[in-house]
Amino acid sequence: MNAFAYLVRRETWEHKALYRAPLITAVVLIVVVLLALLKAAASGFFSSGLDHIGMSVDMLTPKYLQVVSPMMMATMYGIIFTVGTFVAIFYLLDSLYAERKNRSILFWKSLPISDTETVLAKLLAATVLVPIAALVSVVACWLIMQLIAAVTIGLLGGSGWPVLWQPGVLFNGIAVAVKGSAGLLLWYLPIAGWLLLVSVWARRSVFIWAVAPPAIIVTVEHWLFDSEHFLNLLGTRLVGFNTMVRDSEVVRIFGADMDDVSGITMSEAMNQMISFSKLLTEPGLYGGILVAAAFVTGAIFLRRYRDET
Amino acid sequence: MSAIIEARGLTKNYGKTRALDGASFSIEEGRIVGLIGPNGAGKTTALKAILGLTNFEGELKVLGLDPYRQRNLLMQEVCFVADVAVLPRWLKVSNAVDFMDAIHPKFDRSRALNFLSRTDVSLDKKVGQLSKGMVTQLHLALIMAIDAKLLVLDEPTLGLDILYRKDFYRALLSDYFDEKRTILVTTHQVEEIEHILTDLLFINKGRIVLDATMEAVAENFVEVAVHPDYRERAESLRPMYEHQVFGRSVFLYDGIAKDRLSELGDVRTPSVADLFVAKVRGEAA
Repeated sequence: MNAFAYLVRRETWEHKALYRAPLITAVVLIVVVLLALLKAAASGFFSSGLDHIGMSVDMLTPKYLQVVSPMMMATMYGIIFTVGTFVAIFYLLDSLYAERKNRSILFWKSLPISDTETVLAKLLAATVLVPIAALVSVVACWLIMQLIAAVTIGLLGGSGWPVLWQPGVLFNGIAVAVKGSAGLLLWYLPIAGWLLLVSVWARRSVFIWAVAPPAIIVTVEHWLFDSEHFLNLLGTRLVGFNTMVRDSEVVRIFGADMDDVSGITMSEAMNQMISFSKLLTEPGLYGGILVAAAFVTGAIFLRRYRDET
Repeated sequence: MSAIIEARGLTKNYGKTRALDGASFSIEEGRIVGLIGPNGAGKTTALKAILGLTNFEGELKVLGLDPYRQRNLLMQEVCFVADVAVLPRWLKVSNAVDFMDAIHPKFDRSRALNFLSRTDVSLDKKVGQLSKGMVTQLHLALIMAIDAKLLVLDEPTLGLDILYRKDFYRALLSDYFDEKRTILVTTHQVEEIEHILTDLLFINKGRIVLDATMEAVAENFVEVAVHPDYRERAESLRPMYEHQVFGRSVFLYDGIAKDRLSELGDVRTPSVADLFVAKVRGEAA
């Protein structure tokens, strides 16, 4: 393994949450589903049959394959990637702050590792390692859920076998995740860069340093110019990702009656949900990458040249 | 012999405080140099300049490199252990060895493991689970396994008990040091290292006040416990410093022949600590 790969690996020694948090979330989701099923079994759900909810056993498997299974994957993505995002945010804020606080920075600086390599390894851990850990967690969690579903359908008298192996949903799902993560990474890179810069800059209260300057800029702009340009910029960056990638077709499908989905399966729709061609024509994407580069360069520069005495 | 460190007029200001005030010195290959000075004399600033951790005015070359601008290159050849460069608590000993092996081109894994096997440090422990003495042993094991040209030690044994301190310097001398390596060390426990030093550098108020080999120190500096009858004669020879030991005046001389002084009382080579006090106090007086 080369030196840079080891630098990234070191981050997982210090911050085990980078890969553990998504995995633990997946385990919790599975446990919750199992508990719900046990509760249902205890109240006689499996013996009383499906008639009382107006479904026949024959409908069960196709319905599950068409709607529940992809929805399940989408929900897992939502939950596990949200957890991953929070882990990445707190990790980035801590990454260049903790080494100064615990005074290990001089040990790291006694080694032939450049500040550029160090800072980039930390950026990579947050923006690439975390999504990979989250994706692995989602896939593992989803596969186990399908096993649970197959057994449940079997217990209800249906055929669980088709549920066990659904390459369409699985590979579409992975494609969505890879595209989505790449898009998210590029879009949120300036935020990651900002957090790194705060992490290397702040002597204490990294969180306040991360939040206060943008809030102050917004307030000052409002007072002086009675305008909200910075606030809008910030808002677009923080919550605008969806509109940057979303296709109207998909909105229509998700808004439609589930039974009425025709011509396009749910998992295909999810894959189309992220439209790279739209994201790549967005000038804000490139502006953001430039800002990110400036922040990261600043972080490298500060770690290299600041003399903290 | 070639100069490992060459400093000319090294100056550094922190705001209005002058930490280094035109310090000039040169350190040759294969020496063990003690950089000794009172608190706030500029020791740490000088070391930071040598390690490329701070900018400065004046000229400084370490292994022929500008440490501030060519730091990444320099750190391939230079190691340092500082009291303030602590190993992070979360680091597992085996991971530390793996990590060094992966990132340091001059790290010898078997040397580190061999050294660790002679200590109580076990590979599956984390730094946070080790005693301070063991953490220092680990740090030393990691550093000694690096084939570096210059080793900088800044108060490396601070807070350690006497056994660990002795072991530290014994290991350094017997397992690490050779004529191709150079060690620069600062410590307050100067009496523990004076027998291993080859050179002395005294620094006070940002200036070098003594730069000499231990042989030169032994030749030039003489301490005389003066017999009370010869006190006036002793004073007329212009001692650097006078202090009282068991009611007798002890005078310290620079560059006066030993046989001349032996007429005045018992003659011996001053300890580094006494010489240091004489230099620093003598300057102030």
